[in-house]
Amino acid sequence: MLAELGLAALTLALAGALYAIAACLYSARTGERRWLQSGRNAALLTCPALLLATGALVVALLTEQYQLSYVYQVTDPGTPPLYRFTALWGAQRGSLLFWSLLMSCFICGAIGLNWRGERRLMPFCIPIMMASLAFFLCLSLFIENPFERWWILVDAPVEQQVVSSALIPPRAVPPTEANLRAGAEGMNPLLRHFGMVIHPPMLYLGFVGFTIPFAFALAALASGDLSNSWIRATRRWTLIAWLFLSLGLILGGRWAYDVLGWGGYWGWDPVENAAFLPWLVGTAFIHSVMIQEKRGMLKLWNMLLVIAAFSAVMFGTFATRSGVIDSVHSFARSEVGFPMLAFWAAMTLLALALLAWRWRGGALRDERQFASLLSRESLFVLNNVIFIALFVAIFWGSFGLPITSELFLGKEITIGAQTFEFYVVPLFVAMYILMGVAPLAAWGGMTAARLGGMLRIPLLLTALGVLGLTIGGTDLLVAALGYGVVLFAAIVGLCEIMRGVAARRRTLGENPLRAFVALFGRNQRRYGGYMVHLGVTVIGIGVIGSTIFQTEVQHTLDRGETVVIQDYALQYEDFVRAQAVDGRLMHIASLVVLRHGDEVARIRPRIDEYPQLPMSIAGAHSTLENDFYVLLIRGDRQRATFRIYINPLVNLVWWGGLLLILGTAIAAYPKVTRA
Amino acid sequence: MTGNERAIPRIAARWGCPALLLAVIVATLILGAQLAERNRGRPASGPAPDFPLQLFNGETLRLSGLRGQVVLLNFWASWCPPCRAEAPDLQALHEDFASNGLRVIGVNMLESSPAKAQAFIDELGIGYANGEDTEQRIARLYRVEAPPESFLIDRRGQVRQVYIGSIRYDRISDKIQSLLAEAT
Amino acid sequence: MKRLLASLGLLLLCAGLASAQASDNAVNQVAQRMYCPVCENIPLDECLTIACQEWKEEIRAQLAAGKTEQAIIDSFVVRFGDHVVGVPVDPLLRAMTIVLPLLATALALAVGALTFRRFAAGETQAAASADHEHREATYRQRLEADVRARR
Repeated sequence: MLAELGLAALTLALAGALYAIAACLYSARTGERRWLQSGRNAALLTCPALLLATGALVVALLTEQYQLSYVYQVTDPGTPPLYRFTALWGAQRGSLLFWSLLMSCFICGAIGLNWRGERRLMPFCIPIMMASLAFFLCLSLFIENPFERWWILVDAPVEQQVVSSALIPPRAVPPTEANLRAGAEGMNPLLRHFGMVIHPPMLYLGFVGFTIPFAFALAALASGDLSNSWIRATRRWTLIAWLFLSLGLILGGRWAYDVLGWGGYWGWDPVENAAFLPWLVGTAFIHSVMIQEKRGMLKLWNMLLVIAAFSAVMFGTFATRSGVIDSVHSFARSEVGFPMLAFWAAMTLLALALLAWRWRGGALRDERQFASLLSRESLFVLNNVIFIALFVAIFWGSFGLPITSELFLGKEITIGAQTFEFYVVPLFVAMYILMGVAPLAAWGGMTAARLGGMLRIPLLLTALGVLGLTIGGTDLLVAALGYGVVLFAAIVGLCEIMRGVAARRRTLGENPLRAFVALFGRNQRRYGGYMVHLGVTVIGIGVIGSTIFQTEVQHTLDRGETVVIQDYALQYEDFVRAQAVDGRLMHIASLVVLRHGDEVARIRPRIDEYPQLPMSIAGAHSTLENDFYVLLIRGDRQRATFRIYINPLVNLVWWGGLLLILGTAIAAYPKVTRA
Repeated sequence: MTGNERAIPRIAARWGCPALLLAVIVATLILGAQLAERNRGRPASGPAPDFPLQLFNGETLRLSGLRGQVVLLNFWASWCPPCRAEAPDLQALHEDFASNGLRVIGVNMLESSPAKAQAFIDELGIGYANGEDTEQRIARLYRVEAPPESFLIDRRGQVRQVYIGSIRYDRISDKIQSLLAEAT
Repeated sequence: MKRLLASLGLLLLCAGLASAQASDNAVNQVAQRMYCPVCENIPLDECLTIACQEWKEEIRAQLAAGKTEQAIIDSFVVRFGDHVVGVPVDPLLRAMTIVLPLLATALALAVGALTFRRFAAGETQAAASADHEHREATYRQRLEADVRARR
């Protein structure tokens, strides 16, 4: 029953999407309003239809309908209820459906909010959004159908009797409930973590979110309305997508830190990088779009960036879901690879061809030229250079080189963190310096002396800060310099906010708090942006601390023995074996953490045994200063071996992330005051 | 729209978009080829891919040189318990059918050191040919995921059966006999 | 003198023991620079599969035999190929790893520089037309807002 309901709803959504494409394109040709409205209504219909389909799958997961082969694949009778729900995105088929649902929600939001303002773009915008949606719905219906059920063909030879099919095959009976329950496979152990509850949805929201700016950009190209109207619509949607993508990346880092058991949060794994690439392009766009808004320049470039961001999302989706590369994060190999590749190529080619066409027509010429080297716009161009260089380098390392090498040289290679750090670190240093200078530069140009004057105070404060750090014991030159660069960017951001507050206090006589709030309310994008900058600097300090100053040792301890590591001491207290509700065997060590001789925490690192592979879950004692992070390597009641990390300042990465999210939310929030 | 045709270099203006389009097409072709390569499964039937194998005794063996004989190609590693379990069965097959034209070939993969492989061979008294698969070339050719996996190849060099996991003498001997009975 | 010799001997013995039993930390130090042979993109020191455990024991044995870190890694690369290390050893691949991104960065910078080179002299003219366009844009926005309000 649920399967039929889900199938029907999925089909309805696809029909709606296809109808919307046809109706809107027809209205674009004839200019008939009625057809556009009808197309819009069909597009809006996809959302409830997909909600129904997803709902059916969720109910099937929660009520253990193991005849659905997806439910059979991702859960078993021991799966706790929360993970039954998150199993919706635990494997390819469910996550594709979930992806479509999120995409259609975004599309409905975009249609709803921009219908009045951007009516002229709608006849092209809706078909592009619907084409993307229809593509994923086709994947769900014809290749990776989450509503397939197990059937036993009574007449077939023994080895071909069991089939998985969405429609009921002739002369088929369902398998018995007991067999289904006994055979259910259960969830991939890596996914049983709180991080997995929210990390994939956020990442998906970020990914599908880039469909909207892309659709508006393409609609602008197709309709020829290349005024700033598409930019207005695109800017906020890009910020929203960027917000979710950032959140997804941060949560993904947290999940890796807690679950993957290697004391770090970013491994330069191809799938992580695939999510990072659209983020980089998105960041470049968020900055360069300001140049177009303020100065009418870089129109062609901005178009290219929006197209590149969507293209990077689709490429990342393809890379993650097709098995073209291998990684801990990737889905099992699947038939969706070739269709996804074709879709990626088709959309990118279509967009570039439209762009070329409009460019030839001369519609994307800049209204103005750069006036001075020392202007905010030229620094923004430099910012774009850095982000694009990062994009190219990371793309090359994660995909370009490994694939070229495997295909043309017959050699499988691994591009590891060392390689990425080699070229990413200098670029990030340049980015932080720019982040410090650019907010001070004026639009249109300024003299070097004036800029130098504005830089004097932040530079002085930075020098003081670095001096303080050196006296405080940071003896590594690299670290001191790194902190200096990041600190400089942070100080500039803070100074700008303080200046704003001071100005309001002076002119309007407001108290500091009120001035602060009003400042952010009045100029959301500017000050939200500074807050994002501050968040990025806090993350930078955390990253420098936790990579350069990380301590990592392995010790084997007898029961009762204590080992001293810096100002911490670790005592091996006890060891137990336990069985979890879902049947896995857990080896748990109890340890006492002492600091300066006082007990500060008891931690329980453990190893979970799963049939495929064991997993090491860390025990950590976390303070703002550092994390004392312990992994159990092996052991028994008498002796156990632990891998111990001290990760200084690692928590700043999460706090900085929070600041970044908050800043983005402020910048993207619809304006409260009406003009 | 004041005259700033030169805002972008003429070459870029003229060739930028075609170059990008071309790049996307080339990338698509490369990715497609890579995907096809990655999706290629184990050769479950058809001609067995040929390879040279450097044996532990120093000789080099080529699969194509064994045309006319039935070959049981076995991928193994000393650290894998099922490999240890199947070794006596493989040895027994070698002893019973070698005279009828069966060649058992052991391909040692992912071994941390050749000494361990040799110790394994000595300990279990393995008499059939064995060699190390350097750089995992053969394993990649046969798409072996993890040892043990075995491929049964007939006298004409065609793969006839793939076994994933341990080989059991009684489960495979009939199949071997029927292949041995075939004409070349 | 005897006691000194004895204690020295003991010291040497300890040293010998230490080298015969390379510490976990020394093994991890090497393993960090290598990657799991079966699961792609997982560093060897973090990997928990049997194959990885075996490899770590082999590293320990080679360390105990007095080999240097680099020699151990090289021996693995010879037998298993470039994909066991994070930076390819093959000279061509290594060059491609490092040179191409640098080239890309240089190219991006060059494009940026070209853009700067074209900062035309027509600053004043631009400013004048800017003002005009600005007025036009505000006018258009107001117009659009009016139209919206009338709907």
